[in-house]
Amino acid sequence: MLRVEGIYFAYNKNDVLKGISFEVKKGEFLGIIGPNGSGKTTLLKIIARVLNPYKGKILFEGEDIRKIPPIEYAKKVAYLPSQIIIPFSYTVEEFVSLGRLPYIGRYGEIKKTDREIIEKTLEQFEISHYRKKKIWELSDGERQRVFISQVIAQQSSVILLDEPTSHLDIGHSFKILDIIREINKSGTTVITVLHDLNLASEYCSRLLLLSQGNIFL
Amino acid sequence: MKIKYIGIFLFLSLSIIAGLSLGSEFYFIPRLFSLSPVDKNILLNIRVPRVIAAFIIGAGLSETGAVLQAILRNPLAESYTLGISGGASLGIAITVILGKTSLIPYFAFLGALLSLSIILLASVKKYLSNPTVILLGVALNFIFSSIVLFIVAVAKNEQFHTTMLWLIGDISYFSYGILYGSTITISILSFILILSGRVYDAISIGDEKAISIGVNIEKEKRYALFVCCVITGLCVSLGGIIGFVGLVIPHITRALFGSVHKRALMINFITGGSFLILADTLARTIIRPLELPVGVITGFFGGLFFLSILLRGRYPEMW
Repeated sequence: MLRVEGIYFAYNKNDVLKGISFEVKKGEFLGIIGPNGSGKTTLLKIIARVLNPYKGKILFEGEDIRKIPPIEYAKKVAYLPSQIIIPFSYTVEEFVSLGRLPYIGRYGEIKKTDREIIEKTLEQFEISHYRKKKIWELSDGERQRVFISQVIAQQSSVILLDEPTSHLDIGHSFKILDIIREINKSGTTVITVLHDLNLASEYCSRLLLLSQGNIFL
Repeated sequence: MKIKYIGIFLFLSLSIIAGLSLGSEFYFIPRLFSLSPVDKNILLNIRVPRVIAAFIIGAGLSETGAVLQAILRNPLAESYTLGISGGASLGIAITVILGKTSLIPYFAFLGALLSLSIILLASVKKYLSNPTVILLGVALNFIFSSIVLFIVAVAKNEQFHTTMLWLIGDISYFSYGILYGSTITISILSFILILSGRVYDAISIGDEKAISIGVNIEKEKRYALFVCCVITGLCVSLGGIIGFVGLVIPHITRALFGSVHKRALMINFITGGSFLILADTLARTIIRPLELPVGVITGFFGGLFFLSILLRGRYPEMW
């Protein structure tokens, strides 16, 4: 489904990724692990098209992702950065609705199907009762659920998660990973960076160990 | 929610009525039925254009403020605090010196573009934090107003007083020739910004997130900044540097109507315009028959607001 072919990436001429290649199959729950600075986040950002590799390419179902228009790519791959800072007070519902942007477009109105999807996602993450609350008023655990539900509302076939359980206690971590596993079982491919090796081995169907810009596992 | 919308409509109506009837001459209902030709002249040829000018400047500055805050993810951003208005005033000073006043809107736009480019270049190269970008804008404002004053002093322009007013912000010297063109242009551009509101929602939650929901951020930002420069250039051509309108109004609108930009930008247009009509009315009423530059009023209230944001210390989490 997703094939990474010989990716090189450098910050200030220091190679962070040195020719990474791997393949992700449909329906996998792939965990990327490795020490700090090993390029996990960079790799995820490249797949999300936030960063450009200087060499190598990524194929989505055989097509170079650089050739897919942004809106179309957003329907295929969704991405959750490790940190989101929001300068304005969007409500939970407004924030999650933004996940539907690729379908609604710039000028379109939110349709009935979009509303149903948003509704379903809010319920799935048990956040529908505070849909009108401002995101700033939420606790870290609740906020993270809101962020992930936006990614899920995007209904892409692959989701990329960067440390979805950082800042969370073990109870909340389990809760969130349980929901992600459920989504994975319904057919969505998951690629996630995880710091916690125990959680990674517990939930992921396959692990990728990254160290010094190379794959070890 | 409905009550709030009615409130906005009342606010607009009230400010228009106040703008038309108050000033060096008062026109209230009984007097309206017995207008002398002089009164009619004042109302139609002075008050009406002035109310239109105040509205469109206020509306334009609020729209640019709100959009700049979203795409730079900086709650303190607006044309004034970023020094964009200052750049526009430099452009205008140059046209006045060259004696080509018909080119004012174009040079104002180029000046605005100049200071915006400096800010963008600096913030890309140096990874400036939000408050630092504002400090940069303050520095630019100082530099540009000094250059403007220098140009005026060297050129021995008799309109020194007028130029001073331009730097403070004043809606009494605009040329009627550019009023209607500017009004239409600012309205159309604001409408375009409103239509793109959803894109600014996306950009405001971060570049990485915006890319991943399919927004071409480079293109969108360039496009929005260009539109903001045109609007600011026109606003400064009409009324000089009127500070803080673009900062205060978007925040009040967000606090009352939420942050979703399509709605916020639409309401901003009306609240910003109404606010400036009121401020301008106040400016020409409180020391009647003399007039204050409107920038004195907006500067005073805006400054207090700015201070309250900084002192609350919850920045950037404001509303």
